[in-house]
Amino acid sequence: MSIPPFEVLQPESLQEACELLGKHSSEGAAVLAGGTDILVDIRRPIIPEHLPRCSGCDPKTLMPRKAVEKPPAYMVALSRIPDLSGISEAKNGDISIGSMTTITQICESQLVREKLTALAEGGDNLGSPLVRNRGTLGGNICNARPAADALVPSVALGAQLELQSVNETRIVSVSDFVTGPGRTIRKADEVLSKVIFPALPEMSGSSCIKLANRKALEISVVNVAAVLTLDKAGKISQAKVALGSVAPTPVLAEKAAASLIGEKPSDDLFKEAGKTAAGECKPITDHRGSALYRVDMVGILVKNALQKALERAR
Amino acid sequence: MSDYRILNTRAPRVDAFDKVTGKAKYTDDLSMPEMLFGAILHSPQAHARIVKVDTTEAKKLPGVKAVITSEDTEGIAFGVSPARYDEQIFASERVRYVGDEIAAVAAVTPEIARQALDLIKVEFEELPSVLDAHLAMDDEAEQLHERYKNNIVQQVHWDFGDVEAAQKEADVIRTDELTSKMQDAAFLEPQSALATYDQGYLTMYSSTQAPHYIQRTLAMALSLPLHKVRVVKPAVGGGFGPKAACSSMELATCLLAMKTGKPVKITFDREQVFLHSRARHQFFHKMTTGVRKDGTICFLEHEALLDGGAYCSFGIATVYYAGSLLGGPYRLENMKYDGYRVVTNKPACGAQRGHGAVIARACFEIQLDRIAEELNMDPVELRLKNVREAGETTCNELYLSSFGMKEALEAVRDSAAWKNKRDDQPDGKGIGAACGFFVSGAGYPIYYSKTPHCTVVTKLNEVGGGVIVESGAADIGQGSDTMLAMITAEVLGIPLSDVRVMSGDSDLAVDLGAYSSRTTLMTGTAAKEAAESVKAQILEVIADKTGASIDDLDVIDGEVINSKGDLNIEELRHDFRMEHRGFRGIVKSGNLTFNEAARVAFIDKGSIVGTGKYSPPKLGGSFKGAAVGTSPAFGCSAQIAEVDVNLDTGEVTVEKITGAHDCGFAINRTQVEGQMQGSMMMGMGEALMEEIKYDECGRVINANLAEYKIPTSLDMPPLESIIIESHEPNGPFGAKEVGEGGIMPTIPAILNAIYDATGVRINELPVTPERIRTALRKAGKVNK
Ligand SMILES: Cc1cc2nc3c(=O)[nH]c(=O)nc-3n(C[C@H](O)[C@H](O)[C@H](O)COP(=O)(O)OP(=O)(O)OC[C@H]3O[C@@H](n4cnc5c(N)ncnc54)[C@H](O)[C@@H]3O)c2cc1C
Repeated sequence: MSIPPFEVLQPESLQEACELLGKHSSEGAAVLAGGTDILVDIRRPIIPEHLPRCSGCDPKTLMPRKAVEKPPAYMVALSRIPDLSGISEAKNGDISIGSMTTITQICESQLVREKLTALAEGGDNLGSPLVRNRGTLGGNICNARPAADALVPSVALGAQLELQSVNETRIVSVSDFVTGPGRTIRKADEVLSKVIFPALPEMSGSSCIKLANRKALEISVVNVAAVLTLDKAGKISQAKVALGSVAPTPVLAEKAAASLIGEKPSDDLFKEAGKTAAGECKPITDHRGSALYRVDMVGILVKNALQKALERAR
Repeated sequence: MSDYRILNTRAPRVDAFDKVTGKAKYTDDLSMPEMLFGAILHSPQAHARIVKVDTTEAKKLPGVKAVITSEDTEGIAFGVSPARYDEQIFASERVRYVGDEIAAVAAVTPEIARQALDLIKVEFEELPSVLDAHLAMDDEAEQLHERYKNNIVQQVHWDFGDVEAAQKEADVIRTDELTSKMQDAAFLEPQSALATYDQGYLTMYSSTQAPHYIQRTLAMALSLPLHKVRVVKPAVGGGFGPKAACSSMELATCLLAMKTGKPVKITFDREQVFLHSRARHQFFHKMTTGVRKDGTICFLEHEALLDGGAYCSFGIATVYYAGSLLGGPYRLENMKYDGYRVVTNKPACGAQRGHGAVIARACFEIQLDRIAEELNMDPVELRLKNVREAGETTCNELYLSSFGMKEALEAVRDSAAWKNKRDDQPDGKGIGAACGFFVSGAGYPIYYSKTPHCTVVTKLNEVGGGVIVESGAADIGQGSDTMLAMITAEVLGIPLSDVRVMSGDSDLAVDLGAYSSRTTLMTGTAAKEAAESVKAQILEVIADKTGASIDDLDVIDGEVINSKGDLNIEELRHDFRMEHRGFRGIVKSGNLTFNEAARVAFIDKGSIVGTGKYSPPKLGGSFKGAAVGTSPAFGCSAQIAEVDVNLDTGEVTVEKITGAHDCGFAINRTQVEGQMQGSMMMGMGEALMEEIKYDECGRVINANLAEYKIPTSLDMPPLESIIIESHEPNGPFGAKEVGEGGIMPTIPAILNAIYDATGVRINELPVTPERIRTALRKAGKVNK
């Protein structure tokens, strides 16, 4: 069996979940949402770790790549906690999405499709129907992969995260939350309860594009999310561009976004912004794509994403 | 339309219900009382001497029932080709790839078995590893096996016709190259084996394609009498080649069962499927072809290097096939081939759909398009000018007893509106064509033998009614059980539902297995013969009892019909009715039913059994290696692919593939189309995405189906499948292969279409977006 044994705990309230996480933190306790990341990540390598590798092998790279240092002895499942899933719009237009909301629910929500198009499109690009039915927004964000298909648009849309622990509730921005591949500022006893997307002004539009070698079940070679707002004169008043798979975390291409402000949208403008964004990332070469290709594609995808966002803003 | 009632229809598969409802049992679904679970310890190093294996701690773990290593295997050697038995159940002196087997354990739970592996200590002494097929042949290269000098397992040097003379006749001569990557067959069901050993009898349930070869290898390696080894194939979720040879996992399962006296099961994790591999080799092809101005092909000079990983496996056949199957489908009288199959410190490669011939075919068909361009000739026209017809023999002595190549090519040309689309397409859109050629069953077994390739025993149900077909054929999802049932029902004139097929069991009959696209032609012929015998035996009794002439009798739709008038059946019917007092639905009037006739015949003769066999006629020339590539018949196919290439990103969308395949005669039309579509899907994956990737230490870095890409349903375009029926004289009812040949044209058709769309040539598979974008950039075709 490649999945090591663990015990599943099923708290009925958020408070209880936080307590259990705190109580078992020394033995290792992980939050279990849809399980589509964590159950894959804790697999044991088929070839036992104690066997000596060849001198050229980096001892850290095992097969499969070991994503979790120590498999948790406990899984704290969120499935029985009421009110963790659902999508709602506040009076001020902020949209709040419960962390246990599945990717399918997000993709099927008219509200999200209309107001947070980039997130819906990111969701469309994620995995397959099976994975989308189980995988959650909270899981995608907390797993903190630089390519994550719901995380990258969340960064562009300026999502705020509500983190709940035994003693406190805090709100942090998603950009501050993710610190590295698989790494976040989440404390051991914290649960992400909801994700708040600040209302976008009138005349806003967003989009998300993924580049990969096939049309489903893919980890992006590059993914890009863009958000644009136009003023009454038709000039760009706000812009955000987020890049995935080009750095250890999703990146906000700030110079590219800044270059758009106050400008009249045009193909040339977007093309230049693409070039600027390409200069703002430092991807690596791995088996999914070379750094050169990725930089090249950032330029093209940013331009395309901005064009799509513009169509929707108008 | 055909005169058949059952053949040539779209009858539902006999296993459809069980598969769809989840009732079908695969090997891993099987469980037995007291069954133990096995686990295998694989090498973490690509090339190393084994200094010491210490299993002391593992043996002490409670719940562990056996731990075995090479010390328990008496140095047994096995493999695929008897001349190259280079594998061991467990590595004794050295490991040759990351994944090579070192030890196995059996324990009461899978978890304990796994924990036991963590307690086995191994000391290695690292050896330089050889990961590059070209460097492997250097004199200085570390040698993997003592017997393979320069790491060459097999070389082939063929020279048919007179290439030198033909060079002088050619107006255009081109040299092209194509490189592929090792591939995985990506079948759904990982290998699984369950062994029991009871009173000297070994029974192995295995997800195999070839129970017969497994049976032989087990008996040989474990020193058991052949008749005391039984191999049973439960439902199998795909094979495509890698499941055609006995594996050390199967042998280890048996050894553990023999050692513990308990049933033992081992099921591979998906990652082990990749480590074990035995899938498609890596090919490096270089071809020089010459043609006359009018398009006549003059000669082909072909060099191939095959990287086959650590062991020989099917490698000898692979390197022969890579050369021999270019003998068709075109008139090519002068062909020179130099092929080398080497070993490297990677998982061993073996046979995979289109064995040995797929990348060679792709290289040649791509080259034909380039030649057509130089000649300013339509590539379909160039092909049509050169295709062979039935009755011809290739330069390497392959006889084409039926051959619908021209018909197939014309069919796709017309159906895909080739001319219009070829001439008139915007940038980024492209269309490409290619042909293919493949054996319909290998002419010779893998080991030297004059054995029939298969037998079928068809037995009449003794209480009256249907028949049971007993065969060793391996239905691995391709539908051979349905084929056997349809042929039997057609011959006997009874409904399909009255035929029950038992197959895939070495106790039932001999069958070399599901490989080289043999089952319909070979086992189908044997089934036909067996059913004919049963029918004759029944009708003989009926003729005798009724006074009719046997020549006037036939069974049609389950009733015995006398073409010369009524049959005198009063007495027979009376007896039958008397036997069935209290039974409902016993016929009172009308024609004699098959059920009645069968019962009458049984009462008269006792058991009624019909047998059939298939032995190919003597095939092939007298040159060295002539046996590989011979076949009682050859299939051929043509395809046209249409693509849309995003010139900014290099992404390819295949928009449509139109395929035509000459299967001789479609026993079941839906299944023929299914094989064609499966082939196109697999070929498309190999063209665009499939590639086993290694790190510099020889470890597979994408050993799972998330990172090893095959097309998803969203990637698949509409596929049009056109069935060509050329009526093969050596096949049952004219049938021949469709299982593998259908993959041949897919890769080159797509690559030719990509060239049409982009104007850039890519000589390395798979053609990923990045490779296209890079080629576009090099060609100066990227917008600044
Ligand atoms: C076949 C397959 C294909 C996939 N394809 C894609 C893809 O295309 N794109 C993509 O982005 N991802 C993909 N994924 C990854 C995964 O499905 C998504 O990231 C998904 O959104 C994860 O959600 P989950 O609920 O399953 O997370 P889980 O696996 O349950 O959790 C993921 C991590 O987040 C933590 N966590 C989860 N919820 C919370 C919470 N509320 N508070 C605190 N911590 C939490 C867990 O402890 C764990 O560390 C794929 C996965 C599979 C198996």
